[in-house]
Amino acid sequence: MSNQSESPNPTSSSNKITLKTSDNEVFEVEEAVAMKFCTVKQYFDDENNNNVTSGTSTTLIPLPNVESHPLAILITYCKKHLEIKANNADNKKEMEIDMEHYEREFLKNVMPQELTELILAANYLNFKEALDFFCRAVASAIQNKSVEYVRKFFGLESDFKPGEEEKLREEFAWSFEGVDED
Amino acid sequence: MSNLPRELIVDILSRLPVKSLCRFKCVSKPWRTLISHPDFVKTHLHRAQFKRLILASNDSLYSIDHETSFENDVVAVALDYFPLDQNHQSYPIEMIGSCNGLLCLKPQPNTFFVFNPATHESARIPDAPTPYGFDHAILAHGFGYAPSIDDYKLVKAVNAPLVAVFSLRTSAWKLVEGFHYKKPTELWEGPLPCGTHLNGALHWVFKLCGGNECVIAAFDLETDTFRDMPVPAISVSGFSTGFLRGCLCLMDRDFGLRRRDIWVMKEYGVGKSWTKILVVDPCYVVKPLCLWKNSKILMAIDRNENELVLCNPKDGTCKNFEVVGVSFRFYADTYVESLVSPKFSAIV
Repeated sequence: MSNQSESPNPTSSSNKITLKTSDNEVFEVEEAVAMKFCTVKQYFDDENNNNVTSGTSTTLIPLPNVESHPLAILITYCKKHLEIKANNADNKKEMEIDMEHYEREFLKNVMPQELTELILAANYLNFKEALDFFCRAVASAIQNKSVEYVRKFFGLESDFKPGEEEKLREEFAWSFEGVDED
Repeated sequence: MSNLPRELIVDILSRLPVKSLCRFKCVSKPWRTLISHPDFVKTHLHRAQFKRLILASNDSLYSIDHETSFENDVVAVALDYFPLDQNHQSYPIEMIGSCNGLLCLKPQPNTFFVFNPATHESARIPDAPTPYGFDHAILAHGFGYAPSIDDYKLVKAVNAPLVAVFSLRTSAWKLVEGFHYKKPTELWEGPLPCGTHLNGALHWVFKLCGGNECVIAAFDLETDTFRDMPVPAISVSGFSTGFLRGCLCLMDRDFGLRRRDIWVMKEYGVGKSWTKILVVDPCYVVKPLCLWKNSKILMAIDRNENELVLCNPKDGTCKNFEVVGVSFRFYADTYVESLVSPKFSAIV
């Protein structure tokens, strides 16, 4: 994995890339980490294509749609992701087990409400593995929850006319059995 | 719609079980619309990862979890909801087919239902135009999906040359010609063969009218036409049809064989691609159902037993398993949970 990211780009492996968030925080990350964010990678590719390559190690990339809080978490997740991949380069099964273990631990330190913020950031950065993981995490967080919990979670309000919702609830009464407490 | 854009909401919701989605129709109007939308129903279906087994027996439907190891007892659990009152009847519920979460069931002679066990929805199929509605005349039936026209169809083959086809989309029966087949043997025991659904077509093994050759009769669910495909070997009693690793497969129906082969058609429609998998031992007719946990071949038995057979494709050895929880014989098929509505025509 690390080999791959060393060769093709003009920036060498020791290069750092600087990301600037919407709240004006600056993060210096390894190139391998930044390249997992497809939006950042795209930015680089475009620059190279246009032959306006900026000075090698001082590149600063603005991320106007990402705040520092989710970005810090995404960088940690990404580093760990790369590390697990590198440690299990020839054993996919082991890699999946390590990844699962890490993701379980990861979720213990994340509030469910933080997940939507992380999803938006991962989506903007086009970081596919993280987006998939967070969407999976939200799905399992809401799977057994009540309608009220889900509304609160996604910031939604009921827009049913009086009586409409009651009718639906009656129709699907069986699906309200065995729901977890909020 | 919420603090997340629609495509991300779709991404998250398409990972949820059907029960959660039915409940979340009450979240808001846009969510109700989204969850019922045909595109979402398809996205959700394509994401469905694991299959279960579904069994239809005299009194109810049962399911066997995909985690079942087949090392200990195999336990089937009765579905918590079944729309038909079966308490007072001894007639077994016949399962005609299982496709994209819809089951086509025949709980009584001459009565067909399409049932989605996950959403609890069911719809009775109107009686076929006489005389084709008479059960005793039916040679075979099947239920399947034609992706090109997005339609589910029930097919009843009666005596040559007619078949009756019911479309869920148009909610109407149609009679079509082109059925030029007969039973492989008059001594055909057991239930009527249910067509194996694959590639938008239903497949049975018949003999050609006026001949003695077995062929695969493939009924194209889009065009409502038959096409013959070659069988891999000569058989006196024909073959049972099944589905393995995305391929059509056949198993000899001759009785009393000490070994039978499962034939797999590796390339669909190509006679030369038939490949043999050895199976030793089953002295009765079985029907291949699926590859269980990516290693062993799971098969249903065509006789009065509440057992399943697991075959090791490496050496052909078979082992029988009694299914705990079901006291009668059953029809077995694979099943995947979905939001697809049996009241298909009503939502189009």
